[in-house]
Amino acid sequence: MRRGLLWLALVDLRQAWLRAGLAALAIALAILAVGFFARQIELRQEEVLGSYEAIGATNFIVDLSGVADQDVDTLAEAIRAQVGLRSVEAPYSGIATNMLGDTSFLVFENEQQKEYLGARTNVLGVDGAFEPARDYYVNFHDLNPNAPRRVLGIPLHITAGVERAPDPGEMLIASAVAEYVGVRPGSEAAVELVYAGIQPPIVRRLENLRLIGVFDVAGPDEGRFEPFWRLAAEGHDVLTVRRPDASVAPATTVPVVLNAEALRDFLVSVQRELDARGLTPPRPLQRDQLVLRANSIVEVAATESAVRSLLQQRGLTQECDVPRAKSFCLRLPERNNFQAAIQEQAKLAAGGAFFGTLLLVLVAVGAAGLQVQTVLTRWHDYGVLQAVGFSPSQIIRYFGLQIIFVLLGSLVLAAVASAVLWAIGAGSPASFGWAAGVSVLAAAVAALPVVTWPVTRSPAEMLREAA
Amino acid sequence: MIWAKLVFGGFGRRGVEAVIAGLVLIIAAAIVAGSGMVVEGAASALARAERTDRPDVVQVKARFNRALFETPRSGNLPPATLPVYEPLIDPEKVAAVAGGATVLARQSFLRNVVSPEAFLNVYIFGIDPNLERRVSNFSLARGRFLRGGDDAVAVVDQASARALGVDVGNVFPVRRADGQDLNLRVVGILDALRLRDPPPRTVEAPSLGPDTNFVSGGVFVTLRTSRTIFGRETLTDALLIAKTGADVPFLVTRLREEFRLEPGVFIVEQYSRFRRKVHDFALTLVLFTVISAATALLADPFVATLLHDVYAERRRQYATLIALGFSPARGIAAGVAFGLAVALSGVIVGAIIAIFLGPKHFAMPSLMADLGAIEPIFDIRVAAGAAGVSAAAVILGIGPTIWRLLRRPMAITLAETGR
Repeated sequence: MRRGLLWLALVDLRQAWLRAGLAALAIALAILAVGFFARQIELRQEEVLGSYEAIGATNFIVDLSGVADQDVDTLAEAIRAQVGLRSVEAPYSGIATNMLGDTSFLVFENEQQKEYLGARTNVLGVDGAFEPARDYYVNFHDLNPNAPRRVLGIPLHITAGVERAPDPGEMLIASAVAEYVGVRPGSEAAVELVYAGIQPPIVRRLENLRLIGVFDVAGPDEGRFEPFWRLAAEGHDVLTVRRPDASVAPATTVPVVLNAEALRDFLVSVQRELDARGLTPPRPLQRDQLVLRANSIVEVAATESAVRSLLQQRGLTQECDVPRAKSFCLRLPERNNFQAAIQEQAKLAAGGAFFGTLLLVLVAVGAAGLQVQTVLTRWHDYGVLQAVGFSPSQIIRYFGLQIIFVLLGSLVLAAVASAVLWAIGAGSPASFGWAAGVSVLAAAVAALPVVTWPVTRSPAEMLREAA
Repeated sequence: MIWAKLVFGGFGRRGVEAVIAGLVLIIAAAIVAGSGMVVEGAASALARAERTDRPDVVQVKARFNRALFETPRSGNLPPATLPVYEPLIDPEKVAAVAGGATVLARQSFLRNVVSPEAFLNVYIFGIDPNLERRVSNFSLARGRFLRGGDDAVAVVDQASARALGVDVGNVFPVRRADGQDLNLRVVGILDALRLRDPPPRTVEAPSLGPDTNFVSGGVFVTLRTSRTIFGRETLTDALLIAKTGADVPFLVTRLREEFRLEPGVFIVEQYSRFRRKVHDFALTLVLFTVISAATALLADPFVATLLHDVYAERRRQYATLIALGFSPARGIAAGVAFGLAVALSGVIVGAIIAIFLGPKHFAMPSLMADLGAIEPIFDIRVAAGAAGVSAAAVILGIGPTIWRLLRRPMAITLAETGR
């Protein structure tokens, strides 16, 4: 009987091949659509995560306290060697060490005088591995003691010139400063490093620094800098004019980026000068921040644990609220960190699920509608089958088999189309398998109950209605 | 009454199919409207961010004029009016490359008055009053704003007015390039203003925002007046509003090409920064828009197939009407009316379901832009989308029936038993 039902179902389908073929085609299209979107959502998730990594979501910060400057390098080396990391940076930040940078460019000269335009900004000393777009972080507590101890990533997006850390004798400046002065990469500048921890400040002038690039600052300060004009006559500075409210302490996160060596040398000389004067700096003249980058977003948490263990093995204690000597604190940057990145990525998945569900609901409703149409078309056949002695379960199996054939046909059609899509690089077997499974299930669950509708009616009634 | 019977009566068993078609259409309309509302809400959030950040605005400015530092502190100089940026921008060059972009020309000055007792610096901006308001905000406390045809009149912010000792109706002199004074009559006082891309603040001057690094106050005159003061047409800075954000890269390229021989002119755009900020959001929005459109496209074949059978069953009835003497148009009108009724009810009920059962908030990734959860919006475009899907389904459903009625011999159609 089973073989007979199978044969009957196949013969019946062959007679109504157009309708069955169209239904299979519609469901195949739905499978392709669901599979394509599932794959696209996967790809977009990867792309979004990749873009978050590019702007520093794999980074985390180690705040150090009471660690001598030379030991910071040793720590960084140890972390680099023992923990799998993509990079470890230990930049010199003017904000943490009370340093400012007065960058000036020659804009006019004659035999008697020279005029300079310049900008007072923060100063940042970095080594060759520093990536401007994702390795600059500021702890706002350093700028304002009343602010909480939180670090914010400030991407420096290179807009002109080369995208690398400056070597000795080179520098990067903010595009707002470059446009204000009227300079482009290739220009030469002087930078006065100003230690503002004591009055009068200690100043060192670095001449003939080559501007290799300018960057856009994305952050709360953006183009915030303090402009000044300087007049030199017969080789001597005679006048520097600043805005009346110009600050004497670091007031902006916009930096001039120099090679770390220049700042290291300057801090050593400042320490020597202070020692000679018998003064103690208000803040230690040492780096207090390591910028660590994990290999991927999903590895950040494990990397944090490994770094924490390593630092504790080296005798440092974890203390985040009130830093003590020889202590450290692991901090995640505000907003752009691995947790936020994963959350944002999950939003894409949730949104994709919403739209995918709508699509599946449509597939289910459409399949049910098509089955209703088939049942109504075959209304008379149902009556005849019942009248000649087919049991309700046989009728259900008979029409159920037809639905299964249609679904199998749609799977074959979708598989052929998917193979073409894979060949041109769109779609994947995994997404097709998933889409085929859920689409066929949705269509079957919606269509099969419709088959039971006619068996609830009497054969005589059905034959009469169809007549 | 007879028309109602002709349109809706006599379906018999096929009435169930018509009801099913209607239900599928309702659900399809609800799905299309629901997904469209999310896409529309997200697009609206992105548009709000665009209105705030204005990535469509490109600034052309010359390098800063160093004399602005020199003069205010030199003392005992006669009153002077200096351009804030060096006037290197030829307005004709800007207009030549602007294409479809709107050009907001500006002449920005610093007026420096030194007297035996004190000195006063005031910023003066020559603007196009109508265009400038598209990018900058001016809040009038009293008087009126500038008009296109104004000459020798000014609108002043409260701080500058106090420093100058003027109010609406008063006049104050500004030194012109030819050494003569031009009297400006004050026609309006501003209590707040937000100038798009103001110059950096370098000297002490009256300001509405004392803590800002940028100029936040001054005297506003028409470009005509500022050209009289300055004695030339050259601009100190200009803003170009591209037709769309996507036009900005091309516009910037053309501007850079035009001013390539002028190293003192800088082209500043916000578009790249804005795209970086909303990259994840925009990417997701495109994906969801495509899914939404595909859902709408997929909905049509399902509904059209169901309606096609309903119309096939009615074909003989429409043919009978025509055979009885109805014009073909009137014979088909019953079918069209039925289709419209199904489509309309589908759209209305589907839209109501989408509005009341759809998500009230929807999360989209926006790590850097921080656009927050979006609110799905039902607007005319969503309604049009749902209506379009329904209309397309009805047209696809009725199309073969109309074709057969009009193109095939009536006898064949009358002999049909449906299907």
